[in-house]
Amino acid sequence: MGQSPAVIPQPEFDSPLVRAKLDTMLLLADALQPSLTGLQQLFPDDWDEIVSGLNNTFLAQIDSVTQASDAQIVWDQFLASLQVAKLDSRGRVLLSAAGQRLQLRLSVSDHPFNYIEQANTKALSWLKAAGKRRDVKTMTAAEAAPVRIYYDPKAVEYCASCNRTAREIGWKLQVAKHAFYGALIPDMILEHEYLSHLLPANTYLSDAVREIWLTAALFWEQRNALPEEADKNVRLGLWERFRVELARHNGKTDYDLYGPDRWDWLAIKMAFSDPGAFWRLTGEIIASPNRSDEAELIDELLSSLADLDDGGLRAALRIRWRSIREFFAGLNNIK
Amino acid sequence: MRRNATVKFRFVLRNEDPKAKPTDVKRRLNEAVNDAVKAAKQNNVAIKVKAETEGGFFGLGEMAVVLAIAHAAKAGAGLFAAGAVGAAGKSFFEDYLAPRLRKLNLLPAKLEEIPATTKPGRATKNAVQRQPAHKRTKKKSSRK
Repeated sequence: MGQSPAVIPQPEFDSPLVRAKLDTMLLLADALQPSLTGLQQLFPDDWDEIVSGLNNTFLAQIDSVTQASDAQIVWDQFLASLQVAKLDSRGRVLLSAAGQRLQLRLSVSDHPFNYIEQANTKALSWLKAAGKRRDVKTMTAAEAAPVRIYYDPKAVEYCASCNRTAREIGWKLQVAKHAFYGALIPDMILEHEYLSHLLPANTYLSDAVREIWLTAALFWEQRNALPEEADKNVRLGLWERFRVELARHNGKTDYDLYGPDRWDWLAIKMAFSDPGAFWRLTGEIIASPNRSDEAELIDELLSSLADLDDGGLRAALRIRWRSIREFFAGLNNIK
Repeated sequence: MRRNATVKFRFVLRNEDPKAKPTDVKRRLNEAVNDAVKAAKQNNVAIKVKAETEGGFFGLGEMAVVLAIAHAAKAGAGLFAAGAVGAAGKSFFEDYLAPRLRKLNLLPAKLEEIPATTKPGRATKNAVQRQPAHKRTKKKSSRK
């Protein structure tokens, strides 16, 4: 039996104009990304405005993009902007390096698929390493899933998705502001798909568990495990901007799109004060059996924990438990 | 079973080329249909295809297209049920037409078969016959 391809483009990408949009966006992202850490160090308060500048230049031209080499024209327009002209020489050197990378990437015929494939490999390897660090076996045992690339120009669907039956991750080319931020951190988008959507065995898990708790686990593990401070700031800054723009595009608040803030605070406090308990609970959530009552129990447990004051949470973290049910039952003794 | 039945399909076509006007899109559609029919014929798929657009663009460069597909069999070559034509039509769309449309920057959405309808005249007649007894028009008695 042949090995399934790592990246599967949908037939829409046979359209030269659709393919040109994909090529251009990912070429620009791939060229700029390695310079962002340096830009962040030089301009800690403004580096993301440089990203916005390129994103806006690209989005303003996207309807005129007809071939991959148009990425060069978009890039040149971005360089000609006042925003870039006013950067000091060190910033321009970093952007010049990005321009050289762009020229090199332009000669690679299947660049967008290679870019997504590399992101997928990186995502899986991060997931396994995090699983090993935190002793979460489901993460350590994660297997690669192919990425199917869709075209969703109006950005009416989720920008990434997961088909559990086919064991595929979906990544969508969308013409919207959030898309470029996501294209700069494709590995993190895929890590989220693995951790929040593909790995959990329980299909009944609520959106809040997937989008708040498991996403907080991803976010804070990135924060703690990445060695370089500038790299942390860039990746997590892009992630936050991506999520904010995504919510804005959908006309929803963070609460509507992702879930309750207090679960986020609970995850932060728990991961900080007792990382062992936080990751043990996270591992149990990922391994939760595929039953609606189990998913409801997880929601009830997290809501009850989020209701506790700091003293109550400290007491809760002292409960000895072997299962989520036991943990939940133990809360009765501290209320 | 109908002899050489014609089956109609509808699909939405999204134009990806912002410079293309509705007339350009129609021309490209016809070009793709003619090319697809030729390619299908080379593989011994003999069908007649007529493509018509329904109105102009709606939404973001989208237009609805109706495809009428029939077997192009010579007289006496046999009978073709609507089901067989329907299957051939779907296969023609997937294997020949859709890839050609995409190459021309026209993205077809899912193909849907338009259910065959009874001719209006007959439908009215049948409807009258099926009316419950209490609703049927009665001749008023001419009692005085």
